[in-house]
Amino acid sequence: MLKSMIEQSKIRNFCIIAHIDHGKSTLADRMLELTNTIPKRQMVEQVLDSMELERERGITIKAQAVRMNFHSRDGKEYLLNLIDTPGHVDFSYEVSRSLAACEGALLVVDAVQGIEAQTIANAYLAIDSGLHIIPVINKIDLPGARTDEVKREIEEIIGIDASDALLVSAKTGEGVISVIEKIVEEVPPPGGNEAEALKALVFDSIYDSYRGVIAFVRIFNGQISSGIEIKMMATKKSSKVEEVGILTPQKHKLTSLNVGEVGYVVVGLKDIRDIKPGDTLTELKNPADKPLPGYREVKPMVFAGLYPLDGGDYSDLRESLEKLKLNDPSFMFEPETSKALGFGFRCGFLGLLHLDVIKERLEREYGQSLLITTPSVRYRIEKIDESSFDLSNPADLPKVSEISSIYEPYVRATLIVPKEFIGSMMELCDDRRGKFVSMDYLQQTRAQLIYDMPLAEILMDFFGAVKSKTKGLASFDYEPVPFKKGDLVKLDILISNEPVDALSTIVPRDRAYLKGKNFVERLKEIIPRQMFEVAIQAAIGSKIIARETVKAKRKDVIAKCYGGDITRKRKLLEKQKAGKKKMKRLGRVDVPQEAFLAILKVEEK
Amino acid sequence: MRQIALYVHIPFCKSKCPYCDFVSYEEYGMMTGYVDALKREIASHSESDSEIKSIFFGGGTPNLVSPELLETVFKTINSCFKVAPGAEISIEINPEFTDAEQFEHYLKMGINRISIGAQSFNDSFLKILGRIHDANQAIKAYEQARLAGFYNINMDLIYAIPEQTLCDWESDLNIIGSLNPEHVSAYPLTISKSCKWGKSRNSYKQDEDLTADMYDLACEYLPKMGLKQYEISNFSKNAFECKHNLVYWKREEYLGVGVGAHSLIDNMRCENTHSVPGYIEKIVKNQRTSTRKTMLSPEDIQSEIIFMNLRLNEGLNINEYEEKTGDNFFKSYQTQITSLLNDGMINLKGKKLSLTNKARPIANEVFCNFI
Repeated sequence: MLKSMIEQSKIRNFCIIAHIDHGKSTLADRMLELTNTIPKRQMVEQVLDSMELERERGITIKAQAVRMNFHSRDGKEYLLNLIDTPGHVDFSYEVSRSLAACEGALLVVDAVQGIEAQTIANAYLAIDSGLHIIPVINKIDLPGARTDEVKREIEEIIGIDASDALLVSAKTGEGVISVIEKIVEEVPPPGGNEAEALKALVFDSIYDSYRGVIAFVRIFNGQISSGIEIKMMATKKSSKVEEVGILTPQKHKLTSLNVGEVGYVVVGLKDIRDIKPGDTLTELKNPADKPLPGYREVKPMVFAGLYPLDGGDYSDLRESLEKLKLNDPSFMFEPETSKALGFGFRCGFLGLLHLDVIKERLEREYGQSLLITTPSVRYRIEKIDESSFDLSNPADLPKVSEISSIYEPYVRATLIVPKEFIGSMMELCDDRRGKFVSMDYLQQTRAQLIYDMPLAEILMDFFGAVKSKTKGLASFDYEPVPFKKGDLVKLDILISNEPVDALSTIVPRDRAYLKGKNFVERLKEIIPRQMFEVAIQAAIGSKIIARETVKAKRKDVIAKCYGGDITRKRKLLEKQKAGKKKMKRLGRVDVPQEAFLAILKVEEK
Repeated sequence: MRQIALYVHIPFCKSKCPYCDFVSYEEYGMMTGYVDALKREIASHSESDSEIKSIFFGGGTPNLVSPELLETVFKTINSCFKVAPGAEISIEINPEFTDAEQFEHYLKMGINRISIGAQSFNDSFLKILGRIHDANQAIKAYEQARLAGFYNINMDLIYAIPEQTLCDWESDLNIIGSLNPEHVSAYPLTISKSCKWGKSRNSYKQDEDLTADMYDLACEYLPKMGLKQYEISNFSKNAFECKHNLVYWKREEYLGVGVGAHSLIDNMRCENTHSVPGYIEKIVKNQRTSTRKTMLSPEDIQSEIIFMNLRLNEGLNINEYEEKTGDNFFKSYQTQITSLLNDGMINLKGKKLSLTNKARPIANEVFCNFI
């Protein structure tokens, strides 16, 4: 008993938060080296970014945890658990769950760049999670380093004392030991009682094709050992634990994980949807009475239609999507059809980066050529003949004469906005047909804005607009509220006089003309010249409200072709042929993929 | 007896034009050393069972080579190869450096065709193009060539120059009419990524419609002056088609010597190194000057024969194609031929396949089908 108490007091659970490229991963690498967790010769830079895609983009997508043993200058042995957090705004829920597993956070700020958007966003998250924050100023080796100014920035913008901020260079290793010592000194040891019922926070999970679902947990009460039967408190699933252990960063099996510790659990489940980040894991026979706070269903923020470029690969695509979901429970999808494009899927993503990552993974790992389209929401249509139905494809909207009312889904949007952006956020919400509900100041520097808005407006990259207008500092969440009646019409797009259902959208009547005009102008830029003139029209019902013309191709030949040009010419022709294959043929017109997403990016002027 | 065309490259210029994509350098101090190496390369290819049916001196600025030096090259060619009697022997000229004497020398050497890089007869456009001569010099060069006795003269023209209007282009065409050369090559200005402009001037966007209008105008005007279009960009009087270039378009064999030169012999393509010092060094050490050698696959050969021959107005001779490739043309390309015929892009008369007039400016659309 006593032994584990002492061990508990020697545990330090912490994470590193920083803006992209401020040196979070390098610092982590240095710490792993200095604690001999990874011998220098084995060190592959930035060990914790295990996926190729992440390494390429220089961002961490999957969180991981690593245990380090450290012999402090006070002569004692400490157990440091570094929990790595995703750096990108799309994944703020995952960030918050990783933070919930910690007691402390290193706030890393680039000595030259100073405080940036993600620094603040993550700092606020850490403050809200009640963590002890240790400011660390990194890259002091660089010539432009301005440590005193940065200290002041930390104090003024974030509001924490930075007079004792540690000055380090993760690259050279300077000051890193003192960071570790400070963690030992200042970060409180984890609380919790070993004797109480098991309460473990799942802050992340992966799917392993041999072992099944592996959860990454922090034990808040009790202990977990292999062989016991556990229950997931939110998903209600139960299973038998196959193995527990820690990460060093390789998996290291143990008989049990005790209170205050961080590690992995091979839970004995095959479906990753049975374990959600933020869920509480407890013992089946002796369950905790209340789950840990902060759990919520992750909501998709950005939606799109995903179609195979070649109609025949539908089942391949479905298989790929299912495999992808195995390891990414926040990715959602369900079947959808389009007259123009055939069978596909409507997908939900956490954000545009998430969409991009999924798209790239699909194209890279599963060899799929994809078409991404504008998404739609579900509308409720009440017809004059008193019947009603749910509409998910705008192309299926009945004639105006048959419709009595259209109801659209609304959400209550909550925005946490830094003071200086309140005005522009209110403007944005008004612009997106939002109805003001309330505004409250949370602190001197932040306000909470609540608006009721149509879900359709959220789809028009509302999330992206919020982030870009507030430099990534505002955060946004929403909840469904009852459907509301809307004055809506169907905006159709015709290419060469043929309506293209995949480009139809349902828009508010008073915006229809402007949206139609902008959409058509954008399409004119995207659709390349064909061998004949192409008319692009926007229509509401039978009325054409906007029109642009793509002129016929008039020049497409290599003028000079002599002895040395022939190989080059052949390669050019091959490239041209391949380029055509990547486009979607609608009737006689070759349409590039971007056309289908064009309306998402069309700014209302 | 194998018949080949011989191309000789002179990679020196006084000033490199910003749109130029050819291998050329502004330092011609290496001229003598280069020409020596050139002669050695020619000698190394010496063959008794090949007959040269055309010779083309291209560049760069071939007329920077002194006539005396050029004569030695001729001597080497004649001693290493059999040159067909009546072979077409051309040289490219930059109008900046011409004088009557030079043309007389050329005539004596056996050169029988002059290609003048006029580009435009409007001095402001010549300036925009970075050319170092003016319109008068180009016209003078033409007159001198005539005076010396040349009866086979080509003029190169460029259109779709920044700021050039259709009217401006019409003026250039009219001047051609008054000069009356036997041959005209007319190209739209193209800026590749490797030329000076390509690396910096990304602001000039050619108007597709204006360029197309200018091409149409050339196709309309030049025949009225007796210059019949025989290839996508080339016009000539009857019997004055460029025999050397026809070798490329009919996909026959050619040997290229000099820096950056290309060869096609026995279905193998070779390219010489682009570096002048590198070329000279390899020659001195008796090494190969080629840096790239590609053995062509049967598919490559088929598509090359098709898309090159289609560049000619007379088009592809299907019998010849089948003889060269052993491929059944109609079987291999049945669907493509049907849809192209339907779209009015090709003509099929007996065993001749050719582009229609409407297809010519957008010929890539046709060529893509045969890749």
